[in-house]
Amino acid sequence: MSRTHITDYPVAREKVLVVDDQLINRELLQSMLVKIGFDVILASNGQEAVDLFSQHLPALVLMDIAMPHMDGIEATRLIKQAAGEIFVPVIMISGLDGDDVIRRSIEMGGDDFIHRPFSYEVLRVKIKAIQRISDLYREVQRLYVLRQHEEDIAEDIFSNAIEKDNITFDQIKLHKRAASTFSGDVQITAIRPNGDINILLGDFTGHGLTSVVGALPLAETFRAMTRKGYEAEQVIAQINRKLHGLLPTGLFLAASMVTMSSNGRCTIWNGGMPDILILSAEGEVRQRIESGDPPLGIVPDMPDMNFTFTQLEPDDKILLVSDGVLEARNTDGEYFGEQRLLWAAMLGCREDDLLGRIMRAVDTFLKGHEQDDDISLIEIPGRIKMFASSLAEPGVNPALVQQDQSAGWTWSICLQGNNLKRVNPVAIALSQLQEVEGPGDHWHDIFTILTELFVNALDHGVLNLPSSLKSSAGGFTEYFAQREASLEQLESSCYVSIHLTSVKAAGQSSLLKITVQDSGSGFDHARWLDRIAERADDETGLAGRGIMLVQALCQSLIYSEDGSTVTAEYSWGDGLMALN
Amino acid sequence: MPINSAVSSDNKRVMINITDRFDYGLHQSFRNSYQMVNEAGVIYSINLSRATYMDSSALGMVLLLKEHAEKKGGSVIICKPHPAVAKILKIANFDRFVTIEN
Repeated sequence: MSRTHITDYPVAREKVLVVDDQLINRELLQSMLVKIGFDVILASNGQEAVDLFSQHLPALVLMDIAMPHMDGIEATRLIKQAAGEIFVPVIMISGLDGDDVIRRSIEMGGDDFIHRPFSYEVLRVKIKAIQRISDLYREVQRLYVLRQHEEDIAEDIFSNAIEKDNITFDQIKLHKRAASTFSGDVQITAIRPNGDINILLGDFTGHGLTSVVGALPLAETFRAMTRKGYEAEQVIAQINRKLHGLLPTGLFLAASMVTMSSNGRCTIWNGGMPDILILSAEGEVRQRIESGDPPLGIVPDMPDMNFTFTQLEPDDKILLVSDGVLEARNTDGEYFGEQRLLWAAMLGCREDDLLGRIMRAVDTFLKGHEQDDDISLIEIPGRIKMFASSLAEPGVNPALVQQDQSAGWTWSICLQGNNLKRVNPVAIALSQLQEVEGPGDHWHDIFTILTELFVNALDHGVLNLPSSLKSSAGGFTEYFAQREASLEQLESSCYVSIHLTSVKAAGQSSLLKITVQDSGSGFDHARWLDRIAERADDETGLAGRGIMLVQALCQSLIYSEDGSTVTAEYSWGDGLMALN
Repeated sequence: MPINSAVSSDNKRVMINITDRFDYGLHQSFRNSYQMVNEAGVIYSINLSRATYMDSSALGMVLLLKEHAEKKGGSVIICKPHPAVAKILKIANFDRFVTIEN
């Protein structure tokens, strides 16, 4: 980009305004200034000076202090006011002695002081010095305008390229108010193939442009991995690796993430953000999820991240905030703080206007004082209603799957020992399937089938966790704690394998055979299936629902090997029908 | 000054004191306080007992100092963080990267 030379300013700037009530003084100054090379405008009192200033916009003002009517100090004040953001240096001139005159001249807005009488040389160097300051000031202003422009672009990237792609659910409320210096808050949402919603609130370090660097890779990674069905832990680990490779030391991303299922189960992670609050309908804090990990992008790997698994009541709400809310400062330098947030949140829950109430409280508190940091709020309800149509990715043609009617294929993966904890085979299987078969609506079904069967094999087969634990909301948390602990002690003889076979008979819809086998000792599947069938109408049962869902989606579901092997047959294209 | 620093006579320890707000405004002076120190094995201690606020830029500045220190086999210690600052350090789980002495 070419750089405007700092002296490239209109000729009008080379005028000097001389203000003095004595004709002899004016004439003396005029002759000196003409000799230096300026155009000179003369004013004989303060009021005339103010008028001429607005008319000519001189680059410099020489101001006598003692004048009748309006003195030099008042005239200087008015001139500075009229100049606004443009820097117009005013050199005060006086024959009076004493520190007090100098002090007052400078305090009232004068930029320099010359004591009369003075020589031509003294005037010349004083003006030279003050022009250096003028030039510097203009340069700063030029850079400021440039930076402002670049920040506007940064903000545009944020709102257009990143947040525009958010799924729009009026049930999840997002609110962001950017500070005048854009400060790097980012809100991203995306849907997993099984209908879970991933929500991320992030806060990049720094202000302005620097805070945008990581935003695009963050959004891309988050969306791509969510769409492929990866778990929160894997999404976060990958974002961390990306940002660590990309961001220079000292830049990082504090973030919180929620994975929300339609039945109110959620997985919550907090890395460097303020506490995440789960609020009851009455606005009481039912649970608080503190930051359990450092922000992302600092260390190359994040092992053993801390996740909170919890079950929400239908009327609960999750509230995510950025530190811009808690650290909003009013004119007295006071912070908004958590007490005010909790109070506003309580009222907001009762009035059913959580975010609106909090923002009003912040505004009342700030009393018009400008916010220094972005303010972000996200409200997630305890139940999110999903519609099949909202699951479809925009622009994906659900019809067309395979071109070659006769071709079939097989694919398999077997995870052993520690890999069961580390690797998500469902996401891998799904991306393989998409690779071979192209996009389509049935991926949501297949994701569900694979996930349910894999989780059953791992949890109940390999880890031998009793599913009865899950039948209460409290036990659900306990279940996850046990699961975490057991995953730490996997022996290398443990395994789960997934085998996929696609069979395509001419003229018929093709069939996907999914076989999942585990190293566990199996279970009494016949009795289990009977019991599930009996309880089909019992809405309260939290266990066994996965299998019911898989049964509904598949043409057939057959257990063998005492229950340690299960084979599901799924017919392409009929999946959504089966759901109804 | 909201920031001042001192180097011990054996050049093995740099003490950085920060008062009031530890934020982006101190970026340059914080860097200046350690940039000239290039001896090996220097311990940099940042005294935050009188810092009442710390923002994420300041956390980033600490990471930069840590990088500078560790390149020459040195280390960084945060001393006596003020309660408000200790909270920020805890939220960011900074005890995993830097020694924090109360």
